[in-house]
Amino acid sequence: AASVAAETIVLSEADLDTRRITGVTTVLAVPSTGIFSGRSVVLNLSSGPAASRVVRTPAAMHAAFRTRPTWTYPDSLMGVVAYLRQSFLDAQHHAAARAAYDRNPAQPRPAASADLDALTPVVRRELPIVFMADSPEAIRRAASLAREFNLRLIIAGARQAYSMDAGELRGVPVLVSVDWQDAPSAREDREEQPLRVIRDRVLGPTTPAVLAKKGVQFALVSGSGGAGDFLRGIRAAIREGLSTDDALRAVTITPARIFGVDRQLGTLERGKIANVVVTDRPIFERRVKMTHLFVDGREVRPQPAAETTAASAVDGTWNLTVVAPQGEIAIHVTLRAERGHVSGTFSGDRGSGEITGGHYDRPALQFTISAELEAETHDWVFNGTVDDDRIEGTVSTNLGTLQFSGSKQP
Amino acid sequence: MKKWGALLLSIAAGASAQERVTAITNATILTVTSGTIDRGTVLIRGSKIAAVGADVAVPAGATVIDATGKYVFPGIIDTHSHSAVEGSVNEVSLPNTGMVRIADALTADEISPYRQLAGGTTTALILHGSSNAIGGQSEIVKWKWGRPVSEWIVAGAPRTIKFALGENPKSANFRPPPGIERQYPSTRMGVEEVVRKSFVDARDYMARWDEYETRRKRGEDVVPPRRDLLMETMADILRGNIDVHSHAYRADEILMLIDVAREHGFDIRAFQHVLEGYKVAREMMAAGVGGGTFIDWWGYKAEAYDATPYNVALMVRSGVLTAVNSDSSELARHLNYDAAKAMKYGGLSEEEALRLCTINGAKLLRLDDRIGSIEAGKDADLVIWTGHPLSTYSRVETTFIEGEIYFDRARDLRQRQERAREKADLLARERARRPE
Repeated sequence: AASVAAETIVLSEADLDTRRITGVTTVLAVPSTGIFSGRSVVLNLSSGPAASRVVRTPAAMHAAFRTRPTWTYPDSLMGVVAYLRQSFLDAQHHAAARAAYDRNPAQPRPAASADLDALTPVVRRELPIVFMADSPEAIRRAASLAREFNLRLIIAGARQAYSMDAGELRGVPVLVSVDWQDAPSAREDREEQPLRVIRDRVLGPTTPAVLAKKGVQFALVSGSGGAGDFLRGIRAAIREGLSTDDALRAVTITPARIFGVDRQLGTLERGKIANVVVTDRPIFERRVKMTHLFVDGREVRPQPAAETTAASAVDGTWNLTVVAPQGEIAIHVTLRAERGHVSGTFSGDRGSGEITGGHYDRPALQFTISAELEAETHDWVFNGTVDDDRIEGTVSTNLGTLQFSGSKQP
Repeated sequence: MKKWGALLLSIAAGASAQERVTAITNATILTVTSGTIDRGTVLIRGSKIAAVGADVAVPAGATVIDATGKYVFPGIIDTHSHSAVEGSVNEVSLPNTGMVRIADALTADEISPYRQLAGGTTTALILHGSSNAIGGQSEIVKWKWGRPVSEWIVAGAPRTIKFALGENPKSANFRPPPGIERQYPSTRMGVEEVVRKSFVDARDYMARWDEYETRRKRGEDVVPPRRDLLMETMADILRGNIDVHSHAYRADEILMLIDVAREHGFDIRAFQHVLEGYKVAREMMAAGVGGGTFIDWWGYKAEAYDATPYNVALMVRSGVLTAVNSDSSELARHLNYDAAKAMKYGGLSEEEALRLCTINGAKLLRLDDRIGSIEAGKDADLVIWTGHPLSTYSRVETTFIEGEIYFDRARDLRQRQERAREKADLLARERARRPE
């Protein structure tokens, strides 16, 4: 919880360009691992020293119902909820003990804890907490915890929120991820699925239009999708009934309000930060080009080549080695990246097949394989960093989180 | 079979006009607690049973379901379920995980509750798994399929917790993945120690809070102790606020936990599985502990061999409150068969058999004032069967929970077509999207 994105985030000029090229001038940079992943920062995508880009830090605490099957507490979903509950109780207790000690040093001195210090403004409603939750049940779980501890809740993800009642989201801002699920290419994966799976996949992109109609405050975010897919995802929501005006508000003034930076950002008004995008046609139309982009009043010229050259860095066959407790596991993957989406196949000691959930946002590569182990299959999620023809990172597996590394065949 | 002719008066005189009234008429009513009524009527008003009898007047405006030739039976109660839990039902990481709650991980994204409704099951105790000596807090739900899971939870029901004895909590059947060390305990001695130590710690924890309260009342400026969710749970067991349902197979460990409970001053509500209950039924009876068991399921691990299908009858005849339960989303669909088998193995009467999957479970859950039999004033959790529920030739037509229909065979058949159409429409909609 103590991790602060403002201190850890590293953005190269090329990283900034992949976002600027889509007309984005400000981002909420969010730490992305753990149950409490840490505190986010609102950053302007200006050039110059990193510290000068910070608009607001910390912007929010971030949490997710993330489980890791590692046989350490918490290992299960219900364990994660209990862990969250105990953490909020501990933060309340820590704050009370701290205050009592400051009042009267004869009291027992509370132990120092950076994590509980970080959670203190959350339980005091001074800092909002953003819960990652896509399904109505996960959203209700988060809402129930927020009610129990009187937290300022924001929901992120929410791709299945189309089926929820407005009343359930009253007073809860929602950051809808436009990283919609694509239709699987294989017919049986697409059609031989339970109705609810098909419903969630097909109706997901109706969520923003539904929330707009119900009067729920929402922003649109790129989520776990690559920066290059942001506008594509927004266009999909517009095709499903979201008005362009509502879409525009959802990427400008509404997120600015949600994170308390609407005095500086979110509208073209005298006195606000001069973050301005000029496009050759309405911004949500296909083939839109950014003709001018100003961040903090200075024009930046993103390099459009950045993304296409970056994507090709992944294309090819990679020999990967996963370091498992029982020895090394060899896996070969053949990948092809297109606009951040990665498709391909894998083969090796743990079976073979198509990869799923492939994403490339230079230099981060993610994909999932179905590994076979003692006649069962398990999803292994690879998270790596590509550096020229080398890659290394971690794999979340049923055996726990493992290290992997590899190289591209010349 | 006892015959009933008495007129049972409606007790719902004050009910509001908007409450829906349904009358199931001309049915053979198996009340469980008051015998069988031939060609009788069950009157449902709102969520409750308003009247039951052979001669109940059907008010004007009531929806009438003519159940001629059919049977009405209470919703079946499953006192050992692991259905509808998202993720693992085991928080495997620690020997005592009493801080975790099944209620936090309930999910509607599983078809099994609906299939259980089609088997006449309406209420379940959803338990944490058996990987730890003290597992998580369990939840009593009704399968209100289609409603948000928060509405499944039976409001006001007792809080419950899972304990587990024997092979599972000593990790014989829960092997960690390679590279991760096996955790304490690994013997039955260790399991007993975990339980005992947890209550010793809980007494210390309670004493710290008592001391804090004393000092606060004296006007001292004191900081309250840290609230520890695990210790709060253990303390609530000692205060009698949480019922213990303990997984156990062998006679020796059943006696062990009865001793530990006596030593630390808490009650065990029921032993679960309890395949050797027939050996210690008198001791269970004396300690006031019930049993939830399988009729003919054994031999699947070392501690499950000394079993007999006569176990249920032997426990019932010794006076132990006994229910048949499932531990399985599949078996939960036909607990009526398990009840019927107890007539063959041990010669229980029909009435005793019917109790095994209804009122006895309700008593184990301490909800027998609300569910488990067909009586005026109880929740309208009712099932219309095509024949006697103890016959394998009978099937469920309609399942009510609190007066609402949650399964209906005719409706189900209609919905299959509607759902096929919805699926085709969704897929067509997806195909029509222009790929970018």
